[in-house]
Amino acid sequence: MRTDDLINALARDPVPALPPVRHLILRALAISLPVSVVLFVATIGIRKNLLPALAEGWFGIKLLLVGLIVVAGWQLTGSRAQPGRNLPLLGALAAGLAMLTAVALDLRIEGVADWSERLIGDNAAKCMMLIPLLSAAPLAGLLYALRDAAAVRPGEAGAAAGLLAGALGALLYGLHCTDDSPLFLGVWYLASIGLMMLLGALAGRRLLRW
Amino acid sequence: MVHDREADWKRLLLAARSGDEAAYRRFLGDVAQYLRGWAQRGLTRAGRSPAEAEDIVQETLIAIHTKRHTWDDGQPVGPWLHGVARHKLIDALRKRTGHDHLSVDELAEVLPMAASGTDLASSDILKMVASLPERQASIVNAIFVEGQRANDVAAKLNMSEGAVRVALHRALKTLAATFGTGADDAHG
Repeated sequence: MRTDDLINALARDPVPALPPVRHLILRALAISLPVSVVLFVATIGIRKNLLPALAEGWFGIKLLLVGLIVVAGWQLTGSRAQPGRNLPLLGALAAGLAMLTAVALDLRIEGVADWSERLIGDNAAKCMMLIPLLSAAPLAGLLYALRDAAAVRPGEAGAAAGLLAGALGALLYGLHCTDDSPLFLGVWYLASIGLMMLLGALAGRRLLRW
Repeated sequence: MVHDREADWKRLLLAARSGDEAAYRRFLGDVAQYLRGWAQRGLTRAGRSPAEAEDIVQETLIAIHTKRHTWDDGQPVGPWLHGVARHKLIDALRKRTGHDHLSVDELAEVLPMAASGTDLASSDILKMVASLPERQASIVNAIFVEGQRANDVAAKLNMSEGAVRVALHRALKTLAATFGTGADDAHG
């Protein structure tokens, strides 16, 4: 085939057939996140005395911290799904700093004496099981959508999708869970999200080639 | 110069988005011409025949076309285009490499970087090349600095093309080791 013929053939179709990548990602979440929400409401549901908990402080800080991870995941997923993008580290940096600050605050305010109790919490095993479960649909949806994007490094794109999905699952689970200490968050939530990143990376390497 | 090209590409690609076939044809034509030189340099540096360039140009054009929605109009076109092109070039080399000794990672290091303007033949590297064994140094010079083809070099040095590639590969490995992790810095 001559290159000129190829160009003439391609040029007949100038308008992109697919929407921008951030639309693809949003669409995937709009479809898959309700699955997790239904699953969440039907099984564990929101914790009792939500408002008093919010007033206490740590619960709100927990949601805020996980929210920051969602933002970081969103930024990273968008950038890793498109060629020629810089790594947007600002969101991840903000989330990391906020996490460290919260841990320091926890140790200062709640005391160092029983830190291990707060770290181990009441529901570590449940947390490690339910966050991945609640993240599964978003991760599947994101990976499916990213097949239509263009990940130059499929593993990284998959990991970013895992981070976003894992953080969304953690946000849902966080509405149920009564372990609000940043120490608990820093270990079990992050481990669950890390697991989703690993799964995302492994799946991405297979699914996101183009 | 790079600025002009960026502005041209952006204008054409935006026009294409709103349905302008002529603008899209011009864009693809410009890009094809640009990619041809780029792919030839990349292939030569990887110790491969630049004759494969046209295949890579075509594969990259197709990829640019099918992935054209992944360029955000708020972003520059150049880095996006180079991202797609590098991906396709590495992919093409991987597919055709077969028993070749060059690994993809090594190829990625040798490939020309996006519009960096720096050439591998900067003076530091030339000094390092000079410290290579004589035959390797002359092969690296012929291919990298003078831009000769691997088969021409082979004929001149009375070697097989495969032997030239192996020697080039060893030379690159030695250079990479000399560079250590600083190899990326040399690009830009």
